[in-house]
Amino acid sequence: MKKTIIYSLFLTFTAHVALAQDPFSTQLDELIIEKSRITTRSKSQNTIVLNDSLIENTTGTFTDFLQKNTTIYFKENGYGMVSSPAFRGTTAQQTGVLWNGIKVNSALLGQTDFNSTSFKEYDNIVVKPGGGSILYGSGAIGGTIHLNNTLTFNKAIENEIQLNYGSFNTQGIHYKISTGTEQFAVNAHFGYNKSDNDYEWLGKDRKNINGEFKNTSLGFEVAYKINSKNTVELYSATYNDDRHFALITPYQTKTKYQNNYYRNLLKWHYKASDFLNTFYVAHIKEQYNYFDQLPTDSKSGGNAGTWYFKNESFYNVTNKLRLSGFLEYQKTTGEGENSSLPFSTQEIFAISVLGNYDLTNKSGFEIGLKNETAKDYENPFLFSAGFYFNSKNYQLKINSSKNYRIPTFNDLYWQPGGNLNLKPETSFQFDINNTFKYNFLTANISTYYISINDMIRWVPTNTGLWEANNVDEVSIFGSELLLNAHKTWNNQTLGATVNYAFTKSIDKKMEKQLTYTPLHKFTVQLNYRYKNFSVVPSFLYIGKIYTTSSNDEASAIDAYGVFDVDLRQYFKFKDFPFTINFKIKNIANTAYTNMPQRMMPGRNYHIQIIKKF
Amino acid sequence: MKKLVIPILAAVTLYSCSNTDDNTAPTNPDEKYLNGYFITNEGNFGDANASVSHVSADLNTVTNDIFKTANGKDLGDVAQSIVMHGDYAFVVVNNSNTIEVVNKKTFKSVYTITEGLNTPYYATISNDKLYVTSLYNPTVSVYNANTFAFIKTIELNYSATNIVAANNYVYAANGFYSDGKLIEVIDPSSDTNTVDIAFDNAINGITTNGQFVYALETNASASKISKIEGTQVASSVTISQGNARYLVADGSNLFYTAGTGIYKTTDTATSAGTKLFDVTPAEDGFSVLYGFNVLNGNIFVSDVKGFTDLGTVTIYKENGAVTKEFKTGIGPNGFFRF
Repeated sequence: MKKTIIYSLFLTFTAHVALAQDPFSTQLDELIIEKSRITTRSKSQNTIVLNDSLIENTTGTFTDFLQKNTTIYFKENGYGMVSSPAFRGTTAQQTGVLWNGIKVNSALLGQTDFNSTSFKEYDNIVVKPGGGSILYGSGAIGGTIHLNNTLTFNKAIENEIQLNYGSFNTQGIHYKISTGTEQFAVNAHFGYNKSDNDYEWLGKDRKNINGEFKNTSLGFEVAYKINSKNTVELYSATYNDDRHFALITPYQTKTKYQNNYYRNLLKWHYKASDFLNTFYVAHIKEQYNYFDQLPTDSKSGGNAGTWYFKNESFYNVTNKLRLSGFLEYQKTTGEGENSSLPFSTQEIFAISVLGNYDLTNKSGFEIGLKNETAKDYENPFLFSAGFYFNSKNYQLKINSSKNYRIPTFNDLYWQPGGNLNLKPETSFQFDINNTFKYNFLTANISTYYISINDMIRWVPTNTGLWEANNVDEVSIFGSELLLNAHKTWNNQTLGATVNYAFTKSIDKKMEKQLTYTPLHKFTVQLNYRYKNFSVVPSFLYIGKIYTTSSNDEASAIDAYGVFDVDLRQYFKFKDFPFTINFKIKNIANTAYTNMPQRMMPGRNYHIQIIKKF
Repeated sequence: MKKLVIPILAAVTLYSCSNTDDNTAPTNPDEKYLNGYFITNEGNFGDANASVSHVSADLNTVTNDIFKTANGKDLGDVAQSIVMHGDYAFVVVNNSNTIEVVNKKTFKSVYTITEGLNTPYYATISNDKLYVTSLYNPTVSVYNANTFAFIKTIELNYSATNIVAANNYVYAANGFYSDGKLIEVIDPSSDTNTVDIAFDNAINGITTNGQFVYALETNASASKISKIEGTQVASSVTISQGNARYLVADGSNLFYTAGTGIYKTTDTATSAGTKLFDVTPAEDGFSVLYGFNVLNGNIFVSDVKGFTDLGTVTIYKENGAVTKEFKTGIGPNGFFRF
C-alpha cells in the first residue's frame, strides 16, 4: 500500500480529508489502491498491486505478465493463443476482470481471454485473490483482476514511448500521454503489437504454423472537477485484434479469430463531509469474428452489448461504523452472426449493503449482503463477513463469503443446447491471510477453502446434441505464499519477489485433482541494481497437470521450469535519457507445453526501448 | 517420391496377401490384430489426442492406442471413422485433414492422404475407390484405394455425413449438421452425383446389409426408416420415438437407438423396432451412446465421460446382459469390423 503509486483523483479527496481531520483516512488508503471503489471491502481481504514500473518493463502478452508475477495459473493453446486462468484452482469463468471498476468478462463466454486483452496502458493492475461477488458480481469466485487507469490534476505533460522488437518478428509500440490542470486531468494511450509467432516446436521438427497475431488498443481518460464536491470522469477504451489459431497438426484447415471490444464509462463522484457517492454509467460492447476456413471468407461471429448503471454510497455513521450501499442494474443484449445464438436479452438488478465496524484502532469486522434478481435464472443470496487486525509488524485478515458465476449467453441461449434451466454456479469460501513485516522482508501467507457447486459444463446427451448442464462439484484447499524483500546499500539494490501456490482442487465425484490445475506453481524474480544497470533473472515452475478427470498418468503434462533474464540499462544522457531492456526468455531452451501437444517457444530474445519526455 | 513408392509397393504386396487364407498362422510378429473390432477414439477437439483401440473377436483382449504404439507418432486431431479395404484400414482424422492408411494387422502406417481433404468425415469403398465426405464442404473426395492417389472431388448439393456403398452405387447422406435432407447418390463408374433421394427430415443414420440401403430420418417427435433399392425408396416405416439415432445393420437385423433404449427390427423394415433394453446411464447423467454399433451380435455402446476423461465401452448382448466393459482412449465414437 505504498502511497507512491498514488496518482489519483482521490488525492484530492485525501487532501480534503487531511484538512478536515476526517476519519475517512484509513478507508481512503484503500480507495487509492483501487480508486474506483468506495468501500471498506479490502479490509479483510488481501490485494496485490502490480505497479506501473512492472507493467512498463514487460513485453509480450498479458498472460506472460500475470503468469510471471502472480500465483494465477494460465493455460495457453500455444503462445499467444486462447489463454484461460485458473485462479485458486477455479475455472476461467470464475476469475473476474474489472476495468476501472466495471466488470468486463465476456457476456458470451463468461471469461476473459488474457491473450486478447491489452494491459500496457494501465497505471496499475490489482490482483485480489478470493471471492468478491458482493462487490464485483458474477465470476468473482477464485479472485479478481482489476485494470486501473489513474488521473492526476496539476500535472505537467508527461509522454512515454516504448518500442520493442524481438524473435519471431515480434514488434510493439506503446505510447502514453498524461497531463492535468487544476480542473482537468487527461490521459491518452495507444498500443500496437504484432508477431509472426512462427517459433520452432522443440523436438518436433516443425514450426508453429498459422500462429501470427496483431492487436491495437486505443483509449483515453478525462476527469473534470466541477467544484470541491463534484467530479466527473470519462473512460474510453477500444481494442481490436486479429489472431490466427496455430495448427495442432500440419494439414489442418487454417482459422483465425478477431476480437474487438469497446468500453465507455462515465463516473460522477460526489463528496460531502461524511458521505461519498459515485454513480457509474457504462456501455461495454464485445464482438468477434471466427474465420473457420481460411483463406476463404467463411465466418461466423457474435456480439454483445451491456448497459451498466451503478450507484455506490458510502456513509460514515460514527468514527467506528461505516456503511455503504450499492444499487446496480445491467442489461445485456447479444446475438450471433451466422451462428446459433439468437437475439437474446439478459437483465440483472442487484442491491447490496456493507457495514464495517472498528472494534479497536487496530481491529474490526465487516459484513456484506447482496440480493440479485435476473431474468432467466435464480440468483443466490450472497453474503460476506470478515475480521481484520493490523499492527506494525503483523496483519491478520479473515474472510468468508458466498459467491457465484452466472450462466453465459451461450450457456443459456445457444440453439440447440443452451439451457434455460441452468442454475448459477455457487461457491462458499473461507480465507485466512497473515502478513508479517520484518525489516526489509514482507511475508504474506493465505490459506483458503472453496467449495463450488452446480458447475456448468457442456456435455453430449443421448439425443446426439451437446447441452449446457450443472454437473460438477469441486472443493479446493490451498495456500499461497508471497515473499517480498528489498535491500539498498551504497549504489546497489537487491530485491526479490517469490510467489508459491499450493492448490488442491478436487473434483468431488472423481475425488481426484481437477484437470488443468497444477498442484504447485512457483515463481521467483530477483532484481539487482547497480547505479543505472539492472539484471533481473526470473524463474517459473509449473507442476504436473492432469488432462483427464481420472488423473490418467499417460496423458498428464509434465512439470516444467522456465528461466528468463532481463538486462536493463538506463542511459542518463542529459538531453536524451532513455532505458534499454534486453530480454532473454526461456534461456535454457526448455521444451514445454501447458495444453496437450501445444508446444511453447524455446529461447527467444527481445529488446525494448523506453523513453519518457 | 519415396513416400509414394513405398505405399505402392506395399499396396501390391499387401493386397495380394489379403487373398490368402486367414487361418494360416501369422509369420510376422508385428501382426497383432488378426480379427475383431477397431474403435475410433476421437479425442478432445483441438488437442490432437485421437487414438484407435482394438478388441479381439472373442472380446477377451483390448488394446488401446494401437496407432501410436505401432508408429511412434500421434494419430492426430479427432479420429472420426475407419473403413477397411483388403488389408488396409483407412483412419479418417477429421480436424487434421488426413487419412492415415495402415496395415490393419500391424496398424503400421502405410501412407498419409492429405490431398483434397477438408474436414473429412466418413468414408466408404466402391470399385476399388475410396469415397470421403466432408464436414464443411458439399463434396465427396475420391481416391484410388490401392495407390491412394487423389482422383477427383465430386460436388454435392449439401455437405454429407455418413456414406455407404451397395449395388454399384455410393450413397452420401446429408446428416444432422447439414442443411440438406437428401441422400445424394453417386455413380462410381462416372464419379458424379447423378440422383438425389429426398426426405422430410435430417438423416440421422444410413446403413446397408449389402443388398439394400436403409436410412433413418428423424425429428424431435418421430422418426422413419426407409428401405432403398437402387435409387428409389422401396418402403418406409414410421417409428414413434423422436430423435432416433444410429441405424445399423447386423446379419438380417436392423438396430437403432432412441434415448437410452436399444431397438431392433428385421431388415425387411416393415415394422418399427422392439425395444431390447435401456443402456446403463452414464455417471454424469449424459455422455452415454456417443458411439453405437452392432457387430456379430455384440452391441457396442460408448460413454465419453463428457470428454473430460478416458471413455468406456460396454458390450451388451441382445437381452441387455453386459458381456464386457473396458476403458478406451478419449471420446470413443465408432466401432468397426476388422
